[in-house]
Amino acid sequence: MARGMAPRVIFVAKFGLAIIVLYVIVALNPVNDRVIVPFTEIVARSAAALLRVVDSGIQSTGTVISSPTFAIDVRNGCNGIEAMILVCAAIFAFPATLRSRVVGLLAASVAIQILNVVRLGSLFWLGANHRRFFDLFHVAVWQSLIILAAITMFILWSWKFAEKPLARAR
Amino acid sequence: MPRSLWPALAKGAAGFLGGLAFWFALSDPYARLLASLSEPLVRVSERPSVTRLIPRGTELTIDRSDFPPGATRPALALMNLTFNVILLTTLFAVNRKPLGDRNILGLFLASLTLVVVHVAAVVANVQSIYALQLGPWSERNYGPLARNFWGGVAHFYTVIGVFGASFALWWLFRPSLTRAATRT
Repeated sequence: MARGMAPRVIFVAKFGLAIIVLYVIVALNPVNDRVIVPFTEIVARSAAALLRVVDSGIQSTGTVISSPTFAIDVRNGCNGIEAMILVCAAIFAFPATLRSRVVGLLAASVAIQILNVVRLGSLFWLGANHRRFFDLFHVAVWQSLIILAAITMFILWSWKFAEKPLARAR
Repeated sequence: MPRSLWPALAKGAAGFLGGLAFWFALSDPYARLLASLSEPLVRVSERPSVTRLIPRGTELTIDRSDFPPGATRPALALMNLTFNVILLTTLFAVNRKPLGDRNILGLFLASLTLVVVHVAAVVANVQSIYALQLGPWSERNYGPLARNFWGGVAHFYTVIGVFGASFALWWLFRPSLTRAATRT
């Protein structure tokens, strides 16, 4: 277990530092008000558009998705930003070329947001139709799945994109 | 890279469901364990020591002997802090030889460390409740810096640290170095 621990510890230290710095940036009021909230509104609009495929009565106002019988407010923690921060920190901590990092970050962010819109749509449907399952899926299932997807994307990126240029460089 | 992602996905799904069942089934006794480990740490910074953490199902009721007798006691929902166990079991399940000795040892060590993380999260959240949610009492006993610090730490853990902890522990304790890890 001890063999090979040093690179892992270095990775985790860089990852931890990056995640704290990114969190602080995102938590700043001007960033939250001018970037995160408008972004969350776009996420809410996208999820509402997806839901309107099955129910035309669903609409979004700001960060709220509502129908005549149910409503959810999309807040920090539900907008996919946390998963993007995690991937961003992991990609930062992993040795790779700048181009590989940018490609990985963009691809992972798009994939996370597509999955997050599906998450919000399914949570809204669960809340409207099967309320007793809502909390379990909201807290445990979907949050874990989004982060697992983010970690999977990081692992795939580290195999596919980051490693080859480094290997060639050696 | 495995020849096919399907075996990894199947192992991940099994780990996810196993972790979900484990977490759900043990939430109540784990709340008691966290209460017994966290309460002394909260009391360390108190003169006199007045905090009691009382487990009620999956919540911790925060009581203080100096609260007015009829006042509502704040509560802390533990499931929001501990569900990263599911993430950890899923990640270890995807490793090569998930039932091998080294993987089980790694999962055990990571889980032990995660308990420490959970205790720290409970302490930070209790301090955050004290600093921000008790009105004039909070303002009398916590300055602006302390209020921002404890609020920030608790929020950080809830939003992103809860995931980052599981990922970091898996990365540290997984048994076999993948090609990716050897590059770090």
